[in-house]
Amino acid sequence: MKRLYTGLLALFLFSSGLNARAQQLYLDLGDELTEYPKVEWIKGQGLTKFDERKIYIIELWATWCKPCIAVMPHLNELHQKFKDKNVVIIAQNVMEDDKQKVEEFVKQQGDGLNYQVAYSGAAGSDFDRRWVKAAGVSAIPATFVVQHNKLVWQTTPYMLNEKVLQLLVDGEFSIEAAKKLADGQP
Amino acid sequence: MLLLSSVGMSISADAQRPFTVKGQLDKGINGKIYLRYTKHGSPQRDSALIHNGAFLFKGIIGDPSYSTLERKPDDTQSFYLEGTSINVSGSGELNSAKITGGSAQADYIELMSKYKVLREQMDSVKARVEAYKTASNDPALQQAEAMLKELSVKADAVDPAFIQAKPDSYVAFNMWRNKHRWVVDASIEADFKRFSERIQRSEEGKKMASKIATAKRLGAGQVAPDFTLKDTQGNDVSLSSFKGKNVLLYFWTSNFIRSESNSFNLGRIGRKFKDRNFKVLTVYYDNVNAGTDQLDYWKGLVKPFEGTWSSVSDIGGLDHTSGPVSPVAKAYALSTTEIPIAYLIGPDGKIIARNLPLHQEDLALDIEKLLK
Repeated sequence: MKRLYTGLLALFLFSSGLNARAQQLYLDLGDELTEYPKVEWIKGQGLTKFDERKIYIIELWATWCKPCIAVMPHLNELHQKFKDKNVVIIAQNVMEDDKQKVEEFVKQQGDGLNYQVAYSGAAGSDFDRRWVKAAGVSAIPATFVVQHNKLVWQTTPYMLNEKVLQLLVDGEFSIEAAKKLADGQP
Repeated sequence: MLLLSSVGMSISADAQRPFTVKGQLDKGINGKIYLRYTKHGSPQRDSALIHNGAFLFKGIIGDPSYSTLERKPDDTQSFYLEGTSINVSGSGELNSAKITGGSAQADYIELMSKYKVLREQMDSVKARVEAYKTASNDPALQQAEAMLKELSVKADAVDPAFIQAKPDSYVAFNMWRNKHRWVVDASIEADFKRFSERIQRSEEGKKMASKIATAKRLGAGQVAPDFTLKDTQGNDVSLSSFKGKNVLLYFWTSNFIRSESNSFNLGRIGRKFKDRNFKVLTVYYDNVNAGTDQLDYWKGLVKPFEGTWSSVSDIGGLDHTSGPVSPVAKAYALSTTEIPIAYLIGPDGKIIARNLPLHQEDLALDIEKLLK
């Protein structure tokens, strides 16, 4: 329901034209990405800029999103296997405004959530405007893959596995090739 | 053949038959009972009184229909109703009574018992899996999990086998056509034609034949029917004015859950190909729920896509009960179950692809391969 609500809110904002910051931002495949939006880092050292030598897997999640939580062990495993291969996984919290709840959740996970975690705040935040709305994200979990300072894929965590990450590490990524390797299983 | 008319439709006598549902339950049962079924595509709800366990329904029905008898929320039974005498009998409540009569119900009972057998087998193996997990009995666990997988494969095979074995069964036909509720591809015709003449000529059979005919008429290689509608400024816009460009033609409404994400994707596609000979042309039909000015509502919806889309409206062209009304809606055979739909039309005005998967986030990549 929250997802639909957020989507409807976006539609309202788009169609009302009343939003003073009506500069319509879009985030499309192939767009250049140099800066990470202003967020609060709950776990890990965080980042402000994308390093063009690294591969970033940005996973959108919320404490109320059960499938997002269910897929965390899978992502944690990928993190363990690829953290020394220049792959940075970020659990980017979105679509909720209770920061304490998020912090408590992360604490509870302990080592079960070993990759970086950031909190963006609710609708209207920097991350929300420049990534969530701009990329038309209406449902989570949602995944952004960034390599060489470019958005190379917008997908779901079910499409990521070791073979797909290895493809990225080997510099041989294409969406077509990745789709062939992905099992699509949660 | 006697022709009867109903709601403007001619239905021949052999497509409409009387039915009776005669029931005898525990003699101590009294009260009300409901019969839900589908007649000529519309849901019906008849009621009757139970007196000393006995009840009787009488009516007329077209194609045999999946139906439910309801006495109380926790005392119901589903069965297949057809134009014949149906018998409901038992010494207890409705949910333990036996329902017989007609070949559709016989098929339904057969199908349900196949499901039941497999379900019981799976439940028993699942219980063993849990027990072995608790006991950490790995070899036995592995064996049980393999068995579960095997049963799962068997369960998945029940429906296709049933469809294959019963070409003259309404139960099998409904099972098959349930997978093709929305826009269909002409390639399903081979499977449709495997059903008996009787099934193909039934009400739902004829509707399916019509959907398949539409898929052929508006399939790849066919000329996209031309039309002229007005844009947000009130100017005429014709499909043929885009000849020389690839056109993504999108017929849409806004009252469905994927409406926004479809629109967003189309915006993305428009932006991606803005330097190519490509145009997104959207044709809007009403939102049944909107009480406000439809035209203004539509203009608001398309405003963010100014410059990326060409937008026209055909408000009133599609009636959500009776179907296509306007020439455009008729030419493209739009209906509530076949909208939204997007076509890719080539620079020569011929259809390249029908029913593009708009919800697919990387649709742009597939489109790129199709552009001419």
